Amino acid sequence: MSAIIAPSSSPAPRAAAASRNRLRGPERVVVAQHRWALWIMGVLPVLATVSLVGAWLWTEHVLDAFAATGCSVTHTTPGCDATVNAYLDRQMWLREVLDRAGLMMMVLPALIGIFVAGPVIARELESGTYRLAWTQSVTPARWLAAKLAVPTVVTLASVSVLSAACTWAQGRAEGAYQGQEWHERTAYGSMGTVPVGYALCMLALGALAGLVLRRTLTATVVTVIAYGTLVAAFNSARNSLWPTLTDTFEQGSHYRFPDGAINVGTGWLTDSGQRLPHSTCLEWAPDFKQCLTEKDIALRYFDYHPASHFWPLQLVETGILLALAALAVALAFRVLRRHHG
Amino acid sequence: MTGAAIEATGLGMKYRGRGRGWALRDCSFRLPAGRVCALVGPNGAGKSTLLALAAGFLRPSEGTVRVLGSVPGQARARMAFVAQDKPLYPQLTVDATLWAGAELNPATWDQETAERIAGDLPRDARVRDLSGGQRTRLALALALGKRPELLLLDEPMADLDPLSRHRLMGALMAEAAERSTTIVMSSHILTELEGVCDYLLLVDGGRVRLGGETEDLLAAHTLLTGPVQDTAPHTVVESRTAGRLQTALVRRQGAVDTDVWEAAEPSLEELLLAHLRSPEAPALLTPSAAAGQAVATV
Repeated sequence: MSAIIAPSSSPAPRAAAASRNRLRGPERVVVAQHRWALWIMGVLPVLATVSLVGAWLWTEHVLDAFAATGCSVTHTTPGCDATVNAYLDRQMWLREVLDRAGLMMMVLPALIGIFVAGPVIARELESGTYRLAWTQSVTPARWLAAKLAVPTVVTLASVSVLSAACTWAQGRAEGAYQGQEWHERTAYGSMGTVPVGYALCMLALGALAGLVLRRTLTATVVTVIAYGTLVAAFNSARNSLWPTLTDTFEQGSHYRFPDGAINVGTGWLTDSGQRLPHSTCLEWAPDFKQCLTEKDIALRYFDYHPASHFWPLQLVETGILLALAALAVALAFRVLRRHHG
Repeated sequence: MTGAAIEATGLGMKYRGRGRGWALRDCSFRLPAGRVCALVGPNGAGKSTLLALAAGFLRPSEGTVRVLGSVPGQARARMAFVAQDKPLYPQLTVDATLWAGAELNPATWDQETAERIAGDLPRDARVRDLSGGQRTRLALALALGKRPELLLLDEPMADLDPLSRHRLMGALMAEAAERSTTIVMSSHILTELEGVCDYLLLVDGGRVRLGGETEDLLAAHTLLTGPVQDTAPHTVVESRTAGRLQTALVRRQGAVDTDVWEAAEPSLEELLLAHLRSPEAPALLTPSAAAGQAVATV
């Protein structure tokens, strides 16, 4: 701390320092205010990455050790029961680690939103300390910009590293054991660009909530509700964010659903190309064949997202989240201007 | 009309919300630069609102206020404001607070002045651990370190014991005199400001009731003591009778008939209290305090 509190009293270096600090002064003050929170946000990805890499290395060691025993999970060999059980336990453990990591990644955007809504913005407005900044040579807009810029930089760096670590670990785990599918919620939400999108969106929404509500508690509660709503909305709308692929086949012929794909919907296709719900004719009904003929049903269809849709889906969702974030930031500046000139 | 530190025209501020209305209404006045102005009025009169508008925290509901010749937002670097509750970051130390002052005022900051006002404050203490008086001192150090042309102080000395009050007021006046800073100090304690302020703004019920040089305002009024009878042509601010004797604070219109009345110049406290007790008395702004079109003249 003492190293940076050294405003020199001789005029020449001070003038130089002044021009150098003009752009950074407010940001540096924001850093000084939230030293601990920012420090935690910086250390978190390092810890998480180390844990994930550690977990993977240990699992790899377990895999190698298991391969050396000559036992197999699929073919029971006498005397292997204990070894196989121990091996499966350890695989479950890795799955749990990844689950926990995924869950943490889902909680992280909410925590970032709470941090910005509460301590960064609303607490200043509630306790009146915003007037300290605004009576210095800093405009309210400049103040808000600094309040957004510092968490944004830290969030961007921290969540990118975390998401990269999760993506890597999930990728390694997929080949090694029957792990999570890419589209399972905690897996999908902890990989790729989506975590960064949620984190930045919540940061912006938190700032807006803090600025509009001006009460720490109210702003944080509203931010958490907003996050819940956002996650629920995307969970229900995610499959329509990118056009699905469709497979059709004749009833009775052999069809294999693609590996790793999400089943978005299935039903019947009539001769005229009209889609009917699967419940129109049910395979186990006694009049099944008759039903197909009556309804002119020719084919069965499956709508699905193959594993290759991971990135298009991720990028569209991230794009929407970033657009929401931009909108919230624009609104926040507008609210600030309207109330405070 | 050059060199106005603050100039308000038809200024009004209405707060939204239940049971809240106009905190300030139809305020027009002018504060010339270089004055030390007392902004007085009872609690809830609109003093803090007026200062917040001048400091650019609030956007007026109606009318305009100009500070140092521009809108408040653009004069930010040239003025300082110490709010009533002395907002400071509780988690920062005294040193870090002064450092923040330097960071946030790169063009004008003067560490020496700030250090001088901060005096013997423990530099490593966190703001949350400081006493009320120490916080006041730090807030003033931050404000003066900025070397403002206009210094707005909302109830600055409320937390201080008489000795610290005296000392800090002395330091403040010395800084102001050296750099001819305009100071506006609000207070509901009249004695706090008597003797230091050469300018006066009395705000009551959201309106400016009196404005101008303290001396001129005092000289415009006379305390009359005499028989119970009409005080015309003078404008009565307040009149009280005790038995057959009448005491009236009047705004003189022409010479006082000293055959009938015993005339004396009122004290500042008498002048202010008389106005506060008589809300219907007309407003009075001296020529230097009248903005644009004068509201009333002597």
